[in-house]
Amino acid sequence: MATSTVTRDQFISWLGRFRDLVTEHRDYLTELDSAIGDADHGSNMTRGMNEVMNVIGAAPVATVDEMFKSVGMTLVTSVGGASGPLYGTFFLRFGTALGAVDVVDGPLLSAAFHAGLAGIVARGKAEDGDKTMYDAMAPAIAAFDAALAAGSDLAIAASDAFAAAAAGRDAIEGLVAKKGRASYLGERSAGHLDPGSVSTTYLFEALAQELSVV
Amino acid sequence: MVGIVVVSHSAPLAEAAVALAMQMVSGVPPTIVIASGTSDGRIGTDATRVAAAIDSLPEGEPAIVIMDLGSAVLSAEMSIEFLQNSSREIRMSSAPFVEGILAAVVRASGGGTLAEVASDAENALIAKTSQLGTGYTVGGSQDAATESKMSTSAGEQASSHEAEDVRGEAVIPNSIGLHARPAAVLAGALGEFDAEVWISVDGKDEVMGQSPISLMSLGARKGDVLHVRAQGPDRQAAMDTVLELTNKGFGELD
Repeated sequence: MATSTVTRDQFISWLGRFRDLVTEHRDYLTELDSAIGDADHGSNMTRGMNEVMNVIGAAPVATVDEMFKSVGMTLVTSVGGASGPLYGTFFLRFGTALGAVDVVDGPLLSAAFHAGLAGIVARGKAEDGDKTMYDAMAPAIAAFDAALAAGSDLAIAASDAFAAAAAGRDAIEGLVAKKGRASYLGERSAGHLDPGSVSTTYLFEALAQELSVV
Repeated sequence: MVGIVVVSHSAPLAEAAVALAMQMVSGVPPTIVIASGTSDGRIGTDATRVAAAIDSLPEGEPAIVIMDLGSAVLSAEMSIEFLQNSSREIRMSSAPFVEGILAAVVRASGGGTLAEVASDAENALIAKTSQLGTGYTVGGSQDAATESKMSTSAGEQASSHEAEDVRGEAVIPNSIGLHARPAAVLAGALGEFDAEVWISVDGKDEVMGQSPISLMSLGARKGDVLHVRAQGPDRQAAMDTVLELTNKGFGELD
């Protein structure tokens, strides 16, 4: 049966899976961030997403715009590092684009991804090839759109997005970082995966997991 | 008076930088608010806490926001979205953290406008570069261009005034010359007068006496002659103050 919509409950489950992935890979994210950052990405993402799940669980809201606003604000106030404003802005814009609904179709979900990505660009000023989360997220969204345009259902679109995020993450490993703490390391940042691109890949992996469950 | 908002990952860092700046203030200090750390006391920043800090400034006061690095800038920029009062004039400053806070606090205390406080903060590295004798670039412009920018507007204003001025000279007697502390003392003292004071040394264009950063850019050393020109109702009192402070070595004579 083709997956053509995502419900509020599925979005909540998506976020829970994302929390599980960053928690499972917390030490790995920290290790990556020790090589080319300030060694806190693992703890930041785990703390932030645990807080998100606490807040959602404690005060369930009916519509996804309010829910993602709450997700964004929770990340802003609990993360402390750059991931707070960056993922925070992503989810705030994502939720605003979805609107006061409790079920979402492919085109609306795509529009929300684009709004979230534009928020990240506005906030962080990153460009293609700066070696940031953008380099995983932009290809993921492009792959999502391509799948929808080809008539695929959301499960396949999400799976394609995950694969593209992973490919984007790997493609930039050899680059010199142009943004963030890693940029202070210059040439030494080349040959290390960018932690933000890794956590962004988990975000799309979580969505692919969620939508592949019929 | 311009309010100062300090955004830092670290509360001790922010508090120490502010304490250093306050050593230079002898008159009324500006309102200084610190937004640092997370709500559970960790190193980091939180855009909502920055917004609260900006909102806590007195009604109508313009704000200069000075950040340490990285996510402090992201949080400061994002804070605009969370302000209760969005009519306040706010400058997100590219100033260096320590020098910028010091320059901003001193200039604000002397009654500088938001533009003047921001200019001093963003050019605050001039003190270090002129001491070290290295070049200074701000936004790609060269050393001379920056310094001439700071004095050109002074020159333009001067020539457009047809009012009387008084002139005077004094030799700098103290061993380290017109460095940071004397510049702050001199600029701070001039803040009280209804007068425009221009100061130069041989070979340099005149700069505004009320700007400690501009004074430091003169690189005036012991034995240099300060050329002083003052206009406005309090010009004589301002002139007398400059000459007296200079002759006394700005309080630093051994």
